[in-house]
Amino acid sequence: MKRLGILRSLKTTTVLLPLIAVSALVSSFLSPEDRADWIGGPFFLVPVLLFGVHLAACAVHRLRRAASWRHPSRLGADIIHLGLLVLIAAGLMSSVLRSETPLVLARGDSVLLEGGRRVTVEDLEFRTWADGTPRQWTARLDIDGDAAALEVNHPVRAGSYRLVLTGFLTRPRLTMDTPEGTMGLTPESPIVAGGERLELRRLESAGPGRWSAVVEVDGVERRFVEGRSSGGFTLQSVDLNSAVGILSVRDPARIPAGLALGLIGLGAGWSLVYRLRRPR
Amino acid sequence: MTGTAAFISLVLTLLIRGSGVVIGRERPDPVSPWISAAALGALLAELVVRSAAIRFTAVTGTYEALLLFAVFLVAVGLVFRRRTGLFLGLNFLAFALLALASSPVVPSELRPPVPALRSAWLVLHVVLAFLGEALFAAAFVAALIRLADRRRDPADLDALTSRLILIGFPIYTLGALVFGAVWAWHAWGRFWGWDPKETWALVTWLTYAWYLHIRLIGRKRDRLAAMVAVLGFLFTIFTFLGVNYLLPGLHSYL
Repeated sequence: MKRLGILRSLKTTTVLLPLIAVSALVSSFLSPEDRADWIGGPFFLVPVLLFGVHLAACAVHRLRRAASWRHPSRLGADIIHLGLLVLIAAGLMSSVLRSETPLVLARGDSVLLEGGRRVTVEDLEFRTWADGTPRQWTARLDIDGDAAALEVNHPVRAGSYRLVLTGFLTRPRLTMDTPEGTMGLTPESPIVAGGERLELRRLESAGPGRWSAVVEVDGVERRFVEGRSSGGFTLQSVDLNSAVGILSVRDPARIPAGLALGLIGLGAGWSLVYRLRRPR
Repeated sequence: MTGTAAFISLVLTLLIRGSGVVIGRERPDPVSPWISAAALGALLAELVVRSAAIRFTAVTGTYEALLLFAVFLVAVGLVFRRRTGLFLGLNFLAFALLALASSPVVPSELRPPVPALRSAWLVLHVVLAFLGEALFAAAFVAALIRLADRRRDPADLDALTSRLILIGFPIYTLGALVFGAVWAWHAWGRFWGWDPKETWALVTWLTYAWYLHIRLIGRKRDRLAAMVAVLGFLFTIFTFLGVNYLLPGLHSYL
């Protein structure tokens, strides 16, 4: 019984909170790859899971005593605690079930999402302010026959997936003469021709309106200039197409995460209103 | 122009109220709150003018963020105009932010926000986070006075620090964490991404949660609680400014 008491004691909270804070703080100084490993590792997960158990023990104890309803001052904190519990569960659920795929699509490109929905980019619109800074990016999509306008901050749904517009970019497309005919080469789609694998690495300026392309041919970088041949390949032309970066996200934890945020918001709102209405 | 007027008003506020402290005047002067209010008006006018120019609520750049934070600091200072230490401390912090805003490290040219920043969720996120942080700043000043000045009644200052954090904490929770997460979901397709700014906002939140729980344990730990209130505000400042310059991430523009 005493052990259970420790599980829900305030002293436990005052140990776990700084522990989680220090562990989170350490992660911010790591590189993005190491950070992901740290957050998924024992130094962060163990205190967070212990905190989850501690929160659950506190919540059960409070519910059993129905303390909240007798003391409205505590109700806000209890709702926040409940929200945090749901949030920890949602975070764990998301880390296991979430899937996301970054896509780069130009006008006319089409992609089949894992759930079987086909998304086609019908049109792209890039509006700027007078000084040239971006104002809004719009991708007009066809999702299995239904039209949808995808904009920054306005994701669209495609079945169980959510499409988020993350960027607008210029995507080069090379037209190459190869021993197997004329082929298109983009950074995302390498080609195999004449027994060699070609990957577009980067474009470099070769004078006004002219480009040279650095292409990796079977692991060796070669420079191609428009209209010239090299090793059986000829770079015919370089086209620069506008494209959008889209993140295709499927996260079954979004509903519990949204619920958790709602509970935390409600609890915070309740605490605030109670605190402001209470005489000093 | 209005920014300069605000800066000068804050200097005058600090000089008038500060000189009262130096000469040992017992009652707070009645003039400095009016000058501080003028600074508040000038800062608000600057934000309104900038908002009109970019056709969006001007909270999306570092310069505007510094101005907004200063607005809340001066406003909270006016609420506590009769408490000289708190009034002076908050006006000094606002003055320091404006000094930083006018320095070359903070670009002040008007720029329309990039599409990801044009969101009502972002406005709620930033405004409420800074309002909460202004109350944390007031708690910081009260806690500092409590720790440094042994002539003052610690119980009174502890109660004040606690009250400020009890009001600031839910506001910060709503602004920095809840609305920030909702905006991130719309802009980036995820509620949380362990970006350094997000992580430090969480560290700040955990520090103030720690403070509230230490206070619940009992009065024996009041001095520790005051130290945590000071630490919390240092984390707040690092989250706001330090992360921008030292730990680049998705929030580097703010």
